[in-house]
Amino acid sequence: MTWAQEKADTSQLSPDSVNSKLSTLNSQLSSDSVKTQLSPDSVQSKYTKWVPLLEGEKKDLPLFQGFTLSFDVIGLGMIAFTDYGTIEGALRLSLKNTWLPIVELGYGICDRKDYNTKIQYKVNAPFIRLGCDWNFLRNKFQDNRMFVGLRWGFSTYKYDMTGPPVTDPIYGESQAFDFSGSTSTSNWMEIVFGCQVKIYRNFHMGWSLRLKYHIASSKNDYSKAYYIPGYGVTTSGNTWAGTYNLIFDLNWGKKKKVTVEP
Amino acid sequence: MRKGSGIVMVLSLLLTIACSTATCPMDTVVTCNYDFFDADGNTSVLYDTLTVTIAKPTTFYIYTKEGKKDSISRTRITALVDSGYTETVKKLKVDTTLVNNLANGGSMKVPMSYYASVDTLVLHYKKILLPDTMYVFHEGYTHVETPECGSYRFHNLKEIKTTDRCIDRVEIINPKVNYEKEFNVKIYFNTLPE
Repeated sequence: MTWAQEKADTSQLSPDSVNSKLSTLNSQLSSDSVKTQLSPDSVQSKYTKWVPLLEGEKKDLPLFQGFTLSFDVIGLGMIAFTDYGTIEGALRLSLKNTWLPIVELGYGICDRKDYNTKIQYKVNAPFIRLGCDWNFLRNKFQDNRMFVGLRWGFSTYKYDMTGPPVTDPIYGESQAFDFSGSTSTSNWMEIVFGCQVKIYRNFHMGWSLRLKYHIASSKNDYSKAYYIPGYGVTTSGNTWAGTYNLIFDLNWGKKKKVTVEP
Repeated sequence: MRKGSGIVMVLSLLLTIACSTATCPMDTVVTCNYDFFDADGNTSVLYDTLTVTIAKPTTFYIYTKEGKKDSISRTRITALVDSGYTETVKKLKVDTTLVNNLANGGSMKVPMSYYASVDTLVLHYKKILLPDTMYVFHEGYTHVETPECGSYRFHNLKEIKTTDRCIDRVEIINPKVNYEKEFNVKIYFNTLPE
């Protein structure tokens, strides 16, 4: 029986039975199930992940807020248009959408021949960076992030360096040189500043700017690495770099709010 | 104002990136640096005029023909070969001066051969008739700082042997010969006539 039919029937009932019916109806309206169905809180897009904070709602997010997988496009562009670049991706964990531990894996490529000296340097090797970002936006319940962070980078690699014959100005002899297969291990630190914004559903885009400090590299008497995979060119003790990321939210095991269609 | 400061920040950033180029060392002459001492080990100057020469191996082309005068040249002359001369190629040692008339010097810088394993230095004095000969055994290797800066020949000193007309002894104090300008060898002279 619908509420309207019940209302129509009240004309044929005694005042006591009407009161009894009304109290039953009130108790049904105040029950949790009906509240859930009618609450504006529940009528949300099923794609919204970060639920806006409502008055009186608990202010803490659950600790585990899922993973994001990202890919850098600047490194690919550099491979296409310059002598070096990286292919890299990253897996980032979100803890309360505030602390974002991250592991970045990639492959650095360099094939450069100097125009003046004709010395050629080649390297192809993987690298890893470990670190953590801090999302400093006040509202942690939104999809956008702005963060600062630190990274520790590491790569072990083999490089080739070859050069044209060099003539002895006094004795007159000349010989070319070839340092193929020189090995080295490098590590460095990075200070990261960046942001990401939601584009569509689980897809985000963002950039990061990085100041990299070279810590140490194993070297030999003959040469030092010109390009370290994941770090960049070693012409000075520090270097700037940037990434532009395509980011995908992965909701493995993340606690989702149950949404009910109106 | 805020917009302006933002632009300045971006320009500064670009400038920083643009300035991140290789800084090659300015003075890249690689020499073996010798410091002079007296026989007692005191820093001293050589009260003489010192000239250092090497016997530089040089290629000569010798052209001979019966009934004609022999001809010697440092470059190949194909016209003589065409006209019936017999060509013989010989490597002869020619004196080349590395240090010329160093007067009352306390040290000297001598370039090293890039690819030979031993350099033979002849030290000529003015006050002493006979020269000293110094055999410097070394191992040369190419060093590249960055591809932009080119390559240099560095050396590791192995051993030095010398005659003892004016030299008492020699001592290798730093075997790495590079462009850092550190002293590599101490020469102790046994006579320092004033």
